[in-house]
Amino acid sequence: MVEDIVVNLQIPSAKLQASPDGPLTHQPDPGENASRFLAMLLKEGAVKAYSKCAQWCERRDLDLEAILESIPVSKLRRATVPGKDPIQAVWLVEPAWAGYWVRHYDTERGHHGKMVVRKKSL
Amino acid sequence: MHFHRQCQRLKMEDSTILPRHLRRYLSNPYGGLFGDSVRARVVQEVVADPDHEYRPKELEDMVDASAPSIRGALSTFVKLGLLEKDSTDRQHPTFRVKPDSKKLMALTLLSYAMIDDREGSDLMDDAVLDHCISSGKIERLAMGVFVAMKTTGTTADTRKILYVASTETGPMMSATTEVVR
Repeated sequence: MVEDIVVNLQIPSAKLQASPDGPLTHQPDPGENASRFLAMLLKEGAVKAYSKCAQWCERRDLDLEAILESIPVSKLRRATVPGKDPIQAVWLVEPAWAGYWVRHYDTERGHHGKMVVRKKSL
Repeated sequence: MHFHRQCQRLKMEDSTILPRHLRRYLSNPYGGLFGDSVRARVVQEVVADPDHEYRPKELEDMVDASAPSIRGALSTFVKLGLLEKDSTDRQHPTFRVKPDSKKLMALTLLSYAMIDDREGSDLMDDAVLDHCISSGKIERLAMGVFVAMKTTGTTADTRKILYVASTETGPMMSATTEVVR
């Protein structure tokens, strides 16, 4: 019976591949360097002041603007806290998506000296 | 430079309003679970990137705290075994998280738990599973996919489910057939 099923096995349709439970759920791939930034955001509650994010990235030779431009706003975006002195922030809209790639690139744990990051090498 | 600033302004104007329930995370480490002390802010900062080597001055800037309070916090965390101090350069010591510290893992899980409770996600569960696999506590025996196919028959519809898995002992397949009412 297994053989019978294997013979009849067909490539899943595009609809199945793109379904919410399908393999494309975690797209797009943010890349290893951006995933390091995402790991930081996840561990800081998925939201951080833009100025602090910029500082954080600068000290690690990462380009925050390049990261923000490379990831769709449905996943990661700028946000504002309105008020007399509005605060600009970076908001990780989809933590589950980020979590997948942080695990994929193994950027959540400490591996001293393992990672070498280069500016704009997303 | 002027053009760059203009672009920056336009990008900021393009941003959305941050939902109210998320705003507490901007100024309170762990959403305010431990208040807003310098220690809590330093812990969150170092746990967020355990690969980084921290200088006291950098932490002063990142958590907006005075030099004495940062020194005090770092000294406490070294004593508690969360951080280790590198005094190779006596004038500019650096601190980093002890990678084998269980506190590091526990604090990482706490960060995820804060998001999970808020968003209904499973970040913590996934991280626990990942940690157990990578530390050899449990072993992933197989990774696989299943394909379900529904066939229409004359008497009843049936659904065939084929499981294909890559295991340590080689590829394995199994199948079940069930009648769809």
